[in-house]
Amino acid sequence: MCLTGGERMKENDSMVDGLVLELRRGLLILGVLSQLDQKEYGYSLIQKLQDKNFVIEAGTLYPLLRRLEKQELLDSTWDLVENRPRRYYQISKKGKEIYHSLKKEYMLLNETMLNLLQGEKS
Amino acid sequence: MKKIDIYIEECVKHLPKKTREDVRKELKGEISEMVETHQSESLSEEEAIKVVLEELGDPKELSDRYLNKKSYLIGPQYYAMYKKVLRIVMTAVFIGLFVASLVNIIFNPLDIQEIIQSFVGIFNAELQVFAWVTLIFMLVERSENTENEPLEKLDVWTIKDLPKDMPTQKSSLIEGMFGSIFAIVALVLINFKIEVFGVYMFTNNRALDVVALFNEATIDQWLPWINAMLAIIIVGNLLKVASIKFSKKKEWFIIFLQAIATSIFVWVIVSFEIINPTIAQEISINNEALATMVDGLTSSIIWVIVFINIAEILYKSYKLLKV
Repeated sequence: MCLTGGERMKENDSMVDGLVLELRRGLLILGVLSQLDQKEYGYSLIQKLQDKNFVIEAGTLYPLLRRLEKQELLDSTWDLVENRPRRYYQISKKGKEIYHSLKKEYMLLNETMLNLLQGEKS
Repeated sequence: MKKIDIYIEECVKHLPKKTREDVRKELKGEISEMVETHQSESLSEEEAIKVVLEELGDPKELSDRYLNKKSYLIGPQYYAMYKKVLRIVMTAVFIGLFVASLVNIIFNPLDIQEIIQSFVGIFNAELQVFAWVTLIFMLVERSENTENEPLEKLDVWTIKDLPKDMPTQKSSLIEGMFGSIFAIVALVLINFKIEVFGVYMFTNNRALDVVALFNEATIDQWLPWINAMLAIIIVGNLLKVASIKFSKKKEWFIIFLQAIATSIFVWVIVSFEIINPTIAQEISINNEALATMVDGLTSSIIWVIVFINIAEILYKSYKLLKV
């Protein structure tokens, strides 16, 4: 079966979308930990990340926050704001240590990748 | 607001009880906040709820993310094994019951209704086997709790994990499959249709006659032991089928099971009169020569089986020690 030019482009686009999603998935934890020096609740964190062009879906973030808390990377507290209970998350001591190591690894990786990709260009 | 509550309930109903209330409370707060933000962007409440809930996606998937796993009836790690076990057990039960029904039809002329009944019986048995095997695997799947596992397992593979020998894949798989089918068929027949085991011959007036091989007078004494032995053989063979990956521990365990089964067999034939004591006399009514042969060979065949088993156990142990 032969694909037309338009169909092929569409197929490529959806493939790229999938691969980008996979690429971003690995960075979610690092992105989230980087913004939790001050306490945030789920939705405020989504907006904070969004303002910095880091898009994360609510359905991904809420479970992720709980998981990171269970792994003791985050601390959480309940607060009542305008009669609405909110669960605030903040990076823990252990979380900070992990975050710094992770950040270092990412920087190295980033450097390597830049080398690889720029090398390819020239 | 009702839609939000329904959505939250749909999500939390799959979560463990202890976290349910917490997640419910948190989601409710977060969703209300999201809805309000959308409303401030000039959407109606209903439209805002629609946008937010669709953004959060399928509540079942959200729940899976909270559990940090996909929920399966039988997950990918067990599915292949489940299919294998199901295929073997169902085939074996089918063969066993089919042979039993066939023997029944040949020896007791049944009317069509009884024949249909016996086939319905096979169908019911197959259905039960399917249900039980599925249930057992489902329980195993459920007992696995991955909730507290790290996001990704990083098992470090070392050279020690490399199998010591080339895997004996095909032969071990086929051996295990035939072994388990054979043992399950034997188990079914010996419990439900013991008369199948016998010496088949024609009487002087050309009618088919069967002389029972086993001593049914003492069956209550030896049958539980034989059942235990067959169960052990089935477990050992299913183990061979379940994982063809070579593992020393697994091989030793299979040898251990074979040794126990052989010991039970020896103990049963020494302690109980398992073979019909009048087999030779009964045969000699129709066939004198065959009677003499059966008389002389029965006990020697039993001991040959025992010695073959002992030799196999010793050979396998020797091979395993050398690895």
